[in-house]
Amino acid sequence: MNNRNTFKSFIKGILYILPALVILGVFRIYPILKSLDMSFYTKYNYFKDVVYERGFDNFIYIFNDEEFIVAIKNTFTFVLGVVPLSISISLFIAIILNSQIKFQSFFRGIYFIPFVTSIVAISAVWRWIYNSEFGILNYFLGLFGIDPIKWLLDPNWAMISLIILSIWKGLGYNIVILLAGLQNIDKQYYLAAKVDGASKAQIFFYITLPLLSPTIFFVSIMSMINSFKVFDEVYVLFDKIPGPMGRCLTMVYYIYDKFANEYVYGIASAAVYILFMIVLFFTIIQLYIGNKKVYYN
Amino acid sequence: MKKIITLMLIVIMVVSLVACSNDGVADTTEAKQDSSIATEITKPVEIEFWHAMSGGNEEALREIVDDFNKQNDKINVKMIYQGHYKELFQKLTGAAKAGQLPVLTQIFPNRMTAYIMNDLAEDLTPYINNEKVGFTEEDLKDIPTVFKKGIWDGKFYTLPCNKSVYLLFYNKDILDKYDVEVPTTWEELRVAAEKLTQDTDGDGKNDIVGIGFNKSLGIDFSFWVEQAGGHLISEDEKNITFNSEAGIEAFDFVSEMIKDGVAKIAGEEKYAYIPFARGEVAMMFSSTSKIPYLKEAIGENKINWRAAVLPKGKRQAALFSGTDMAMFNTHSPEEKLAGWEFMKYFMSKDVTTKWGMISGYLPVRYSALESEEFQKYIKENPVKGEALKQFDYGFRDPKILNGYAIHKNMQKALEAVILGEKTSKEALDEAKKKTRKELDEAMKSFGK
Amino acid sequence: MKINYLKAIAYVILIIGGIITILPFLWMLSTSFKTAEQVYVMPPKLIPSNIMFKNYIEVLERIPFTIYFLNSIFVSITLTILTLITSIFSAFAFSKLRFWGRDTIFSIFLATMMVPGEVLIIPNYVTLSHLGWINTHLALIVPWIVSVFAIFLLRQFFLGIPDELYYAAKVDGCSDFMYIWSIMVPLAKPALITIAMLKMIYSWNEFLWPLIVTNTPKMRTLPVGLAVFTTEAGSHYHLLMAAATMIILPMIILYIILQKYIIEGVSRSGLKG
Repeated sequence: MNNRNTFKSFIKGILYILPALVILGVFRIYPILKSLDMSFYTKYNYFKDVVYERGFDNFIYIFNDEEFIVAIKNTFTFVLGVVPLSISISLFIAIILNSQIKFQSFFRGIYFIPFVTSIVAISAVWRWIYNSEFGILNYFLGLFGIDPIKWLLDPNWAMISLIILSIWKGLGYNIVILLAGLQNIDKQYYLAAKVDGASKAQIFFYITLPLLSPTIFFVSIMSMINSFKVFDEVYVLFDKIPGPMGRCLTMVYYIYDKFANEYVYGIASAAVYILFMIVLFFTIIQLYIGNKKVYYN
Repeated sequence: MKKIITLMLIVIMVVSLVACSNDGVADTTEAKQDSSIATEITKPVEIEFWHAMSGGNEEALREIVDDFNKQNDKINVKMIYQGHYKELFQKLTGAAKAGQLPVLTQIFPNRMTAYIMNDLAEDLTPYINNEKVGFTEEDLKDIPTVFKKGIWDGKFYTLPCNKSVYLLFYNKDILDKYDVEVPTTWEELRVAAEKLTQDTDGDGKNDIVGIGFNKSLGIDFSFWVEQAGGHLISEDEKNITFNSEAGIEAFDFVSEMIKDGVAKIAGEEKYAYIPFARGEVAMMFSSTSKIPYLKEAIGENKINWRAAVLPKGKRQAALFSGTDMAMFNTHSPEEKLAGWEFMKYFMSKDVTTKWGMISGYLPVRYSALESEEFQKYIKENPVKGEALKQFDYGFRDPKILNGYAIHKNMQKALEAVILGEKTSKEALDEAKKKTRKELDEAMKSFGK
Repeated sequence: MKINYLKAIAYVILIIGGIITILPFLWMLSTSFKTAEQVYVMPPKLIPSNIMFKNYIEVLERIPFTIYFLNSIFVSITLTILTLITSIFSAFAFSKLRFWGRDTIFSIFLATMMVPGEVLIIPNYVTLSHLGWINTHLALIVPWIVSVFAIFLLRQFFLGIPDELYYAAKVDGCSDFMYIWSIMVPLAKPALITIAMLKMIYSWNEFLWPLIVTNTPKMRTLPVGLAVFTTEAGSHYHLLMAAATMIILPMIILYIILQKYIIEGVSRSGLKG
């Protein structure tokens, strides 16, 4: 009796989640395994789906490929350029917004706009902004006596241009989440601190920051993971090349190039896996620390 | 316990999925090879033609396709724009995998190799030789050799589509003003570039630069190497040779002019015709395919532009670029016949003459080139006439699988040299190593 | 006095930040109204001399924008509706039903969130080509109709609805479907709107996947159409900006109307329930 009930409820439960289960199985879980398998293809025919040889060659290849190393380096540069700056600026603005400011939701609403816009479209807009001769950015800088910068052409500036665009695009999202985090802090803490005569700085460092840490942590990890996957911006900003001298060749761009231009699917898959491992590493840290150290109710 | 269950579930899922996918593999249909070709179209067919033409060139192609469709009530050729060449080729690879190749496409020979290796390309030889629908001996002889390169293992797979050639374009008024003759050799080119680089308003910045190059200078660099007496790759396509003495010499020659400021590369604008149209460069190296764009960019400006054959290095050499037209075999015989009919139409004397006049490209038959109509056109548009002079020493880029790697790596090498990060030799040696690896890797994904 | 001083600085910072955020959009709009010659006039004029829609008309003539537009609308709306359906059923099962393996399956679902979309592209392309779905709407839609994030968000919401309600409905002879439709869905409306909006925005803006699985203009979505157009447009920035405006504007309008739900949804995603 009991057994039958268990079975029936199992079937019922599975039926409810079946659509999700099938889709996730076919388009999320299977690809992970297929990618892993493909990354070991060393001699194969992609068009005809025949594999003649498997081995570790693809991994050996990418780690000996200067371009891949450059791609990893560029990606890390990008992440290190975007995440800390983006988080500090958004934290700063979130704190201002949280200090009994009028029009709080208006400002928040404005800052969030870039988040809802198409990266492709907005990157095309920034390409125009960055134009060295007729772009509005160089024009503004010119008003302050700064010589025109070749934002998209100078290998030394290309990455900076990409970072500026990404910070601009992601700021609103971080602000919204950090602001929500700030608003969730129990007012009692502040009252108590005031009663004890704590200074503003003390309140910030001893109350706000620790209590906000889970949110900051979450936002940092999220923007880190997203930054590791940067591609669309590069593709459009530099008009289908990975920046001057390949200075904005990111990991996803490398994968894309190998897959779409060079017919080397096994190598592309191996690179995909390396990217996956990096992202997984940060996600696991997020989960681990998220569950252990920083908690929230 | 929980972990074990999770693990079991995953294993079950994997096994079932792998089983499923194997079924899928079994069904992938091998391209059906028909021994004979269709020679008659009974039912109306619609065929796709993927292309990468834009602007004035697209309009010209559309005019021809529309004419063809009007004349053939059973065939409808549908043009599909796929973006720039590189984007078009990416789409083709994807489509090949998905079994959705178009009947006709524009394609570079080096991209075609992959499809031939995988039996996806339609051998055109039976069509060419067919008595009813094919070419005559005269037709074949009528096509200049430089355009008849679509042959793999003795079989025709591609025919010339949009053929252009690099020329030296110059702004006659500027040359006259500074009393400079049109350069015919590398030495003269260098001298002319120096003389033409001028600071007209005396603000310490050059307002006119001698030579303008496209941003893709390194990609289309082969004619410099050829002029210096070298090749990108050996004839049997086994050895990469762009880092030979000749390659280094060509790299030095071009990069020094840029470093010295007597030549510049188009930046955000990508193509040299844009600064040329504004009178900011006195001479430029460009393919004839950019003529419609150049005219558009000049608009109302008064630019008195001409063109001349490429200056001679150790020898004369001219790069004929542009794509060929190819057909894929994944279609019904009648569709393929329709494709062939369009190719034949496109190659016919009148059409290729028209194409040569309304687009930036060249007619691909001697009879068209010599026709009264075209000769008259040349008198009014002497630029294309210069192009014809280069037939005898024209060459095409290598058609090796993943030949893109050669051009990509040369571009990177050139950028490094211009920035002064590497010497020509270092950059080219490195580029060679990298290219070798990438060519070999590509072979592995189409292994047999 | 000092407080007011600080407040003033705060406002100045906020306003400057706001301007930096908005300026690119204004610059885009302004360029889209200019003629080809005005685009290259220095110093640049932010306010164009006259508002004209010539560029928009030219873009519509040069590329099949209407088709791209309809595709984008069709794909985003279908994706949104299907995502809502799969999420409601799964979230219901994960929150209200008890069955063997439930929590394990839920953890596996959550685990798939860690997989970056880029990992999926090559194998999914292969799968879809076996199914013969490349260059169809199916390829644009089916792989993305499940959002684990949405299931997660909705489950949290459903957990907040007391079980007693469910048992009472059962006693009254209410079927599960009826219960979901008439009780759960209305109660979870805010969460559902949030999910719908976020999904809508993501699918409208999605680029790499539609770029890879579409081959003909008939199937292209707006961002892909724009990327193809950038090649053609070259340095015709007035046209490019008109095209960009047509992609960006609908989402901004949608956002302004439903701002509350979108912002709430994003806030909640950060706080994790």
